[in-house]
Amino acid sequence: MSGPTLLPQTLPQWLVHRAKHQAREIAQRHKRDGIWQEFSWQDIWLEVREIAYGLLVQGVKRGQTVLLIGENRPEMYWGEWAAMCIGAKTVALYPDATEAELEYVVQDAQVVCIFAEDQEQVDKALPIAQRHTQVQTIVWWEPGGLWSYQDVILSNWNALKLSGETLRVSQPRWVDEEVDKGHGLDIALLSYTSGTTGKPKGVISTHRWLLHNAQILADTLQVPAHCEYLSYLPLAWATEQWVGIAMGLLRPMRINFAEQPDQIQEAIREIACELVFFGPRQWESLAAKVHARMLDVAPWRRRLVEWALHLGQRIRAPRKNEPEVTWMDHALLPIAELLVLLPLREQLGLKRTRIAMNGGAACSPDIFRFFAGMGVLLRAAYGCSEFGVISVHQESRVDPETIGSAVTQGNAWGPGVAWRISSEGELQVRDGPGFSGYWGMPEKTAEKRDGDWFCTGDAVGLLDEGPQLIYYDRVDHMSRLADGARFSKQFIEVRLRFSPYIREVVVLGDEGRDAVTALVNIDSEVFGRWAEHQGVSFTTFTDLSQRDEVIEEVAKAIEAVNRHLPLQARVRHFANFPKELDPDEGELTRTRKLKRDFIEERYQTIIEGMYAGRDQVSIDIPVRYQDGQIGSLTAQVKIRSLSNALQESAA
Amino acid sequence: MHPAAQLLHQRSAVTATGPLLEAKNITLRFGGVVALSDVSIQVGHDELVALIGPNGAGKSSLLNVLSGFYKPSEGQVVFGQENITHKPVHRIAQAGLARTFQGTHLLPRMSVLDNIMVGRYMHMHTSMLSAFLYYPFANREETEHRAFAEEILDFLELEHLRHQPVGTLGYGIRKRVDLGRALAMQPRMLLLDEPMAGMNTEEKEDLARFILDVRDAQKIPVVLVEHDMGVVMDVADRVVVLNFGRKIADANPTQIQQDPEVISAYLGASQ
Repeated sequence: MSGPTLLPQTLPQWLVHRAKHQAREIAQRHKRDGIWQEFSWQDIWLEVREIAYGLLVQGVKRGQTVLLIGENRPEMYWGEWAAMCIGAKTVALYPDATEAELEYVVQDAQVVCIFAEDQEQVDKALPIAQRHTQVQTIVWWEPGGLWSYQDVILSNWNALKLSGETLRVSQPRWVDEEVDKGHGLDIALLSYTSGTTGKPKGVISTHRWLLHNAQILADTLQVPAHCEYLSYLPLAWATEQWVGIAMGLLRPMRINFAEQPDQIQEAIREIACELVFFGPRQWESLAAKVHARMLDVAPWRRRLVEWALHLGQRIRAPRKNEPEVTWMDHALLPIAELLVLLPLREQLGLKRTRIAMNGGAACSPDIFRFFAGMGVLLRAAYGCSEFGVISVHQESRVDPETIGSAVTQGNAWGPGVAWRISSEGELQVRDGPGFSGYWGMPEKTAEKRDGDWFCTGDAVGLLDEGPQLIYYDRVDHMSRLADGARFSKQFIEVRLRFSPYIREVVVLGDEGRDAVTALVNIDSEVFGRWAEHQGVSFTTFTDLSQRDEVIEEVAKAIEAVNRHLPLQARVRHFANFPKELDPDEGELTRTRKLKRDFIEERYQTIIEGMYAGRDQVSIDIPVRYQDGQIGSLTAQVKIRSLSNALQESAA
Repeated sequence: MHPAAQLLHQRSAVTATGPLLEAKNITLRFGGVVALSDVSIQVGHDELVALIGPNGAGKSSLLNVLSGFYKPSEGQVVFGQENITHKPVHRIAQAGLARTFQGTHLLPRMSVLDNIMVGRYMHMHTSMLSAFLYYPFANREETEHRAFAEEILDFLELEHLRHQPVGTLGYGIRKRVDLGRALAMQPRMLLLDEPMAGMNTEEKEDLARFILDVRDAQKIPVVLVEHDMGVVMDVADRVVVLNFGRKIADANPTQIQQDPEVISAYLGASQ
């Protein structure tokens, strides 16, 4: 099988291929009645085929649109494949989409048939079907609460199969012929963007596009055949379409479905998934669960777990400020593994995990380190539903600060991704899976194009040593300096706040300024303990914040972040706040968000001092004490410049 | 239709006209105390009847008479075509009349699943010996009953708690397990004694939903003793009001809310 023409070209063709060559192999599992029920490729193909006949009888034609809405269930996959079999386009929506969102998509994509999982979805779909008469059928498969529904437009899963039976008997080759007619460039899916800016737009996704993305992920992540995967990401998210729907067929993988959406954790543990694809929030909640559990156990056990995790982290994800790893540590690691790390992985269902992915957004270095210490390396993949996969953490080059390196390698489905960073700092890409446009929106499509380049709208940078990309922010959210250089306040602030020494930080710089500066609220607790160890004496917060040793530590933290930024966007000067930021004084909101304008006005003197290049200013600000009295704080605030902001330093 | 509903339906759909349950002129005395005097009620084949009344009105007594726990001093209870007035409790259960109790009478150390399996006991034929030896028949029977119990777990959305010991669960959930065990008997009628007492609003709403589902999906008539007027007026097809052992009203919820006797006797004269 060398050229793409020899391979099946569409997802249904792959399904037929699997059913023919791997008929008896288990392809999917669904936990029902407390037991993992297994489905072979043969079972699935027969089911999908019957549904496809049902759709034909309901009058669904090639090129029309079928919508699916519900939780991750085998039926969602089968329904999608069945619609694709007869050449229909599909749309999958989030199960919590509102009636208005559903209606917009029904109209925009001219949906003729809706697969609505249960009563919740049927209740949304029914009134829409009345207003949009092109909707001919609503199919459900979870009966709870639907017993008394009489609407003729409703049909359950089995009734749909039954309705196709006569046709199946009289024309036994019809669906197979429809599958054969399929072409790689047929539209398989319209994946709707979340619509944070204006109306949702349906991204045209062809079969080849889906297969191309699946191939990229399979190759770069080295997904083994028959890899165990739990379908958990919503099907409305392009990632699940690449991983579950397309790669599941292409690799093939074994797709598992939990009994109920809230039993994911249990299911992962029972299956012991080899490929786990979570968003940062799921990883965080997993880590939080371990921490919470640790609070409940006897102190000696807690200390044992902490010791093992810490040892694992020092060896597997070393940090600069930690003591060197000795041979002794290496010798102790197997003991830590045996006593703590392995059982912990088993508890979390990560025992067999070879590929742990974090998608959607960056996870904090602490979370990365937590799992790395346990022996689970979180890798990132970056892409967008318009263009496809753009970059992946490949092989062992995993740096939690980056989004991996661009996928420049081509495969059977097309060339690799070519990329450039525009003068505005925007990542632009072409070739690769490619952007086929928005459904029925040529103007919007044109907006995303610059010649033959696709504009991602994301500002990225490069990690100094290699082709690894760093995600900063949306281009629209970037700030600009007087010389036009762009930088992301949010990126810098978030990264700085990861440092244990920094509690709050305000990054400054705008079109009237020539450099980026920062005001730092140090973490007095951490520094208090630090000062004790270092033998540094101090009296008040003001005193502590202006100690040279403390300023030096903060400078190190900022320089570490600076290394990930282009030269003009680096923090050049900073000063420590002489007092803690306080919601009572209006510097923070009650939810501890920065009140930027107020802070800038209040600490005007320091800011002007930083831009004037001075090394010390004295300020006098009013403070309100707890009992309501107003006093004033007079302090000398030191300003520190950072060495690696003006030129690339060796560090 | 839901598989459990189908199964249950087969049994309850014995087509018959007239009421499924009829209590005629029931009088119940404990020594000199007259708990019930000359009460008659009928429950149809597809009906949710609520039994209300102030404390001590005789609601639970009537339920206990219907399910055979008390034998009435006068009058008779007819279930289907059968006079069950003086039958022992387990015969009445076998005839298809299942009940739940105030509070929960579950087995706290056993799992949710096992508690529901207990409800299947009536339908099991395996002897202790064949169960120990695990004959193919015993195996097959166990599988069938387990499948049925799973359908009930699914119906009551208890799958995720399947292996939890009942004693560790919250009160609202335990009441749901109690309902599940009653349903496991494949009853032709359900008697629920204050299923929502001591629950918060959310738990009440959940359970009310399930009780309605029992009626809608499984076509099992329900007699419900309940204090919460909101729930009663929302879910019941018909309301029977007792006061000092006498039936003072028997009508649909709207009529009950306007009935002057009910208002003065039960809801208080202020309304």
